[in-house]
Amino acid sequence: MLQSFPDQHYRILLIEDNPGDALLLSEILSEIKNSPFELIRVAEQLSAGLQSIDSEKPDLVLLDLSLPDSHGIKTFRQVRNHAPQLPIIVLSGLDDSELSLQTLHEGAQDYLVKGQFDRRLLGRAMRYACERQTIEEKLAHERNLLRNLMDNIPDYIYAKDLEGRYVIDNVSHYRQLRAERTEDVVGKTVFDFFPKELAVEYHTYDQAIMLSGKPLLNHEEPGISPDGAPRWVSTTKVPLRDTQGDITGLVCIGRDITERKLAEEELLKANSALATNKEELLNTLADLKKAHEDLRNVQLQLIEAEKMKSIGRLAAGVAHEVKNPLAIISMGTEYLSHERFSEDSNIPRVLAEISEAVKRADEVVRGLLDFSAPKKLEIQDVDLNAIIEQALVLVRGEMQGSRFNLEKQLQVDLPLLKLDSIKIGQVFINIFTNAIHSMTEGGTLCVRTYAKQLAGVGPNIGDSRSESFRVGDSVAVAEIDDTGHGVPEDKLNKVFDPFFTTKPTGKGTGLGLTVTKTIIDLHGGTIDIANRPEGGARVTIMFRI
Amino acid sequence: MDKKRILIVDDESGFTHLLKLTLEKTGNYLVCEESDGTRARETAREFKPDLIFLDIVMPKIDGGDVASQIKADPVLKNVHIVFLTAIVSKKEAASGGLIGGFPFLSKPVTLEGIIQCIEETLKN
Repeated sequence: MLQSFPDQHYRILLIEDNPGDALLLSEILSEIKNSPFELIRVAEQLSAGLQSIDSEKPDLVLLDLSLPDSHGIKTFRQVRNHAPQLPIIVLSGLDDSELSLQTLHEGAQDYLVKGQFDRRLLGRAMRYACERQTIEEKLAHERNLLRNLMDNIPDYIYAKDLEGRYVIDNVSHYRQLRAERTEDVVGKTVFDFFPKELAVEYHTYDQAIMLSGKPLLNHEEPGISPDGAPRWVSTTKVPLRDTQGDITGLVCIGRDITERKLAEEELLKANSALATNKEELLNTLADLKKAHEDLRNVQLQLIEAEKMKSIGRLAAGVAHEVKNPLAIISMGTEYLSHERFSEDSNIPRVLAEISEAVKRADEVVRGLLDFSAPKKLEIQDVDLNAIIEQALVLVRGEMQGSRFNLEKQLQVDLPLLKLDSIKIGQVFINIFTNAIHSMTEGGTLCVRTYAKQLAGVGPNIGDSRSESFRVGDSVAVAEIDDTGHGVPEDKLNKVFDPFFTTKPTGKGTGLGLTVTKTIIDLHGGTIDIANRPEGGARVTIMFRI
Repeated sequence: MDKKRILIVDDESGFTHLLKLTLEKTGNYLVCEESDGTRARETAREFKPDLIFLDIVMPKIDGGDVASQIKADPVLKNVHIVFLTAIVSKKEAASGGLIGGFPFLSKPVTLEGIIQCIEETLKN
């Protein structure tokens, strides 16, 4: 230990009023071999000694307690108070163990009884005193550094013993506990500061760490401050071990992360709100698209209605201007048919052909009037099968004279549909008539009805042409199959166009399917015509149930 | 048996003329033509018809107004009126309904249709 200061040089102040003792001491000092000590001054009174401390800055004071201007423990205290950092060795003529303990307790480095020490003892006492002082200074410096570090970081730091009592803490910690000083915290436990339930939780955690020896790193936990406010804390707790490796407590560094947590929560809320906003925006966009689509449809309907009004006016005008001449021709042929004014045997046939031509022209004009008639529906709950049966009765006349079979496969419990029975009746009459006319050699007319739920994408299900139905809709289906000549493939997409007909000239007006399609459209239904692989055509009509 | 007296009010004189010839040829009817709707009531008062065939679309007055005038006339109020018009759709023609409470025939008409209409109307 002594060798640790080989180059040190210590300046000694001796405060001693007895010249004999002073001389003796001086001699002892000079006897020390390679002495690092130099007696710089002997003060015979306390006041002189104190002055010398100020002016000569000694490294060590050898102090006699009995001086002319001071006596006993008071002497020591005055020097101590005057220079708290200066090591003092008390020299006393009294072997007073109580006094010696008192001076040592109050900071004296040693207490030597005059006449009972030699140069070896004195030398060692002085060396130890100086060395101890140096170590203490260093320790004080380190303690101060540690304290500064602890008190100047925002995290709170504390250590606890095995029983959970605070041993040390920093400013952040005791402020967080609403205490004013470390001393208000040290010796207390969490039970002194937190509600019991929370204190038990904290204590259990701490005990677990101290028992297991496993540190807890960056653990985020909810808590409350002593004033009851909810807080979030991130803590790191490490077991404290002594030099033997035994656990003696724990040290904790904690950080209040409430603000960060709140910010994170706000961020989550903002993200969630953003997602909601995005969804709302997408919904609004979808609504807008739908509104736009609806508007476009309404616009198309308005254009169509206006077109139909014009056609209606035109049709009425045409009807009047054509039908009056037709009436004259008709009446003229009637008159002539009852008059025998020529021997020409062809005359009756010519007159019959004129009458037939008038009838055809009249049919076309009537068809045009029907096509352009105001489209008002009289909707009621009706039985589709009943409408079909009535229509079949009305076309029965057309089926006579050829070899026709009629097959009916009508679903008996078909739900009632909201339809205009007269207009839908007209639809079926048109379709049955077309089917019968296509079977010039006779054949089989098959009528089928059934209800179904749309399962996949068909020609009228959710496509761009007509969004009449969507997957999952329930519909009533009517299928009319014939075994006739079918429709030429290149004409299939024209069958609903006005004045389109596949019938021989004079057999059709070319308006039947146009009117039919218009009526089905007005009901929100669909109609499709396709050729059957086995020959003939199939008309498929669907209505929403 | 007295011939039934038929007045035809229609601006289509070609039609009225042929209808008159055809009906009178049957020997059962006496027919008077009037091509000016505004003169219909006056002509009717003079001719005293059993039945009037009345066109609807005419240049100066429409058939509906003529019908009202005749029905408002104390002398003529019991005379039968049948509209004879070109502007009737297939559906209206097939429904057998009435126009303004009067029966109607749609042009062009056959002689058979006309005679059937006259006989049925006068029977009622």
